[in-house]
Amino acid sequence: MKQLNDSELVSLFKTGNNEAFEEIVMRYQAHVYTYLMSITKNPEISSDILQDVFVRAFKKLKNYNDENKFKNWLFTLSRNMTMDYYRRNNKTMIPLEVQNEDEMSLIDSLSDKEPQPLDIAISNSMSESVKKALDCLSGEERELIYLKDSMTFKEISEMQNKPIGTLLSKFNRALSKLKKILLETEPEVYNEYVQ
Amino acid sequence: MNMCNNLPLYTYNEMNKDEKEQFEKHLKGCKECRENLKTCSSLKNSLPLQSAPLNVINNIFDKTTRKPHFFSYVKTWKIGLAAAACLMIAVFSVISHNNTNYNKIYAPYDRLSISYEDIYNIDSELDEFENVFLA
Repeated sequence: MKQLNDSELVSLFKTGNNEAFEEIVMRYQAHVYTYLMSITKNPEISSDILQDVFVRAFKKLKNYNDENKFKNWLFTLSRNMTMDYYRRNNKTMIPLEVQNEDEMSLIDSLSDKEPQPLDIAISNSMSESVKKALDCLSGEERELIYLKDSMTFKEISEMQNKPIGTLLSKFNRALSKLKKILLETEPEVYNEYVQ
Repeated sequence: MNMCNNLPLYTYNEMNKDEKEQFEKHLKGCKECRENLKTCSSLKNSLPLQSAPLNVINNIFDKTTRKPHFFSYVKTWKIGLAAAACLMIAVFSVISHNNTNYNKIYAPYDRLSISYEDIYNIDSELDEFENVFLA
C-alpha cells in the first residue's frame, strides 16, 4: 500500500478498499496538521479540524474525480474547514480571499494573538530563534511557507488561484524578512543556520 | 519575470533542465541570489512536520474506516429480516387488494345519506310505475 501513489490510493479507495484511505490518512496527517498548526497555533483546535477534514474527505472522496490533484483538494478542504470552524465557533468574519497584501490574511485573523501555553513549538529540530522569526512574519507569508513544505508552487498556485509569480514574490519577501529578523535579533544563530 | 524571483523554484527543484541551466548562469553573477540561496535551502531543510496526536488519528479511523456498518449488526438476522420483509409485502398486498375491491363496489354507496324507509318508498313507487306501464 505504501508504494502506491495518491491517485492509485484514491482509485483503490473508491472500489471499497478502506485500507487505502487509512494509508492516505497516515501519509497526510502530519502535513495537514502542521499546516493547521501554522494557522491556528492551537493543538486542540488543529486536532478537531484535522478530524473533520478526514471525515469529510472520507465521505466526499468516493465522488471525487480528479485523482491527480488529490493533495491540492485535501489542502483546499483543510483551508475551507478551518474557516468554517471559526465561523461556527467564534462567529468572526473570516476573509475568504486575500485581495491584496494590505488586507488581513486568513492566518492573521485566525491566529491566537497571545502565545499559547500548549503551543508545542514548531519542532525540536529547528531552533527557537527561527521559530520566533517565523512567528514574526505575516500570517499569509507563514501560511505560504508552511504550504510550500507540502506542495509545489504550481499546486499552491492552483489551490489559491494566484499566479506563480505572485507567490514567488511573496515567498522571497518572506525569506528576506526572515533573514533580516534573524540578523537583527540573533546574528550568530543566523550564521550557524545558513552554514 | 525577474530571474531573482525564481530562486525558490530553483531551491525546491521545480525547474526544468533549461530553466535550471539559465538560472545557474544568473546565479554566478548575482551575489544577492547566492546569499538568499543559503537562507532558502536552510529553510527548506529545517521546517519540520508535526505529527497529529495518536488518539486523534485513532478517532479519525473510528469515525471512518472502522465505523461499524449498520448491516453488520443484523448480519445474523439476515434470513429472518428477509422473511419479515416478504411477510410485510404479502400483508400489504392483501390489504391493498381488499381496499381496491371495497372502493370499487361499496364506496359509491357510502356517500348516500338515505334511510331504509326512503328506499322502501322509492321501491314501491317504482313497482306502481311498473304495473301501470305494463298494464
